[in-house]
Amino acid sequence: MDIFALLGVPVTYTPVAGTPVPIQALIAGSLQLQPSGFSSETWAQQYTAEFMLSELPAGSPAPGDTVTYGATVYTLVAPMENNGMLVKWVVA
Amino acid sequence: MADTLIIVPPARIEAIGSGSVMETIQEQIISAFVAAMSVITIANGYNCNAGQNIFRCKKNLDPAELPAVVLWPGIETGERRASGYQYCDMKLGVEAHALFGGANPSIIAAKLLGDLIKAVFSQSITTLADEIVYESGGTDTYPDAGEVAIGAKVTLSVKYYYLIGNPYSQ
Repeated sequence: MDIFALLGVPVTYTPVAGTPVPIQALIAGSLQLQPSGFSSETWAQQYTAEFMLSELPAGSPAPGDTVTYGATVYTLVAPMENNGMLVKWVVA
Repeated sequence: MADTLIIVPPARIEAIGSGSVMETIQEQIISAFVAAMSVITIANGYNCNAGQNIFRCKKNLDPAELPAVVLWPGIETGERRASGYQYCDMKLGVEAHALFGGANPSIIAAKLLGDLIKAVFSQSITTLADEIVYESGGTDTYPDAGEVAIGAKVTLSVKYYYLIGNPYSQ
């Protein structure tokens, strides 16, 4: 997809069990206030990684899979969105 | 659990009253609560060191400031007594926040709640208040995936009085 070519970065996607594959990903960081429901909230940086499902290895994405961008390794924590073509996960 | 409370000078205590004689009874009570929360340290037998970072009405916390206690004085109701006193019931919210790391945030929240209740009711905070009542407490919102902080809060009813028209004197 064009947006991945334009804004994506080349990463190595490594399933928990499987062969690493080079793909494009959208990695974004945002400031989150947490947890909600309190008068005081803590701010912390939260990162997400978005992929094209067609580029991922079979069985992925799954918790514990990793995404390596440069020297940084992100671990998939939990899914946020999945519309059948694109999938976005919270990474840490 | 420690037999003797060890008073550790908090790393940060914000917005304690100046001790001026021109502070209202309400302000003196709030300041006493702020100071009293400093007992919440592991050395004193508590679950965390939130007593080393005490704030007042601080909406946004830096992760480096956790664990922390934040006090939220609320609205009070007043009742005029024939004896010449204004009898007040002040709501005081007290929150404790911490990073939960790899632990279950619900377990950490329960520990924070326990620390808050113990800190309020295991010591004599102030003689200016007639009564301190635990009205509610707990955690109703837990972290989403990727979040790092959890909290617990208690709402207290603090009953005190002052001379009608003179909130500085009892």
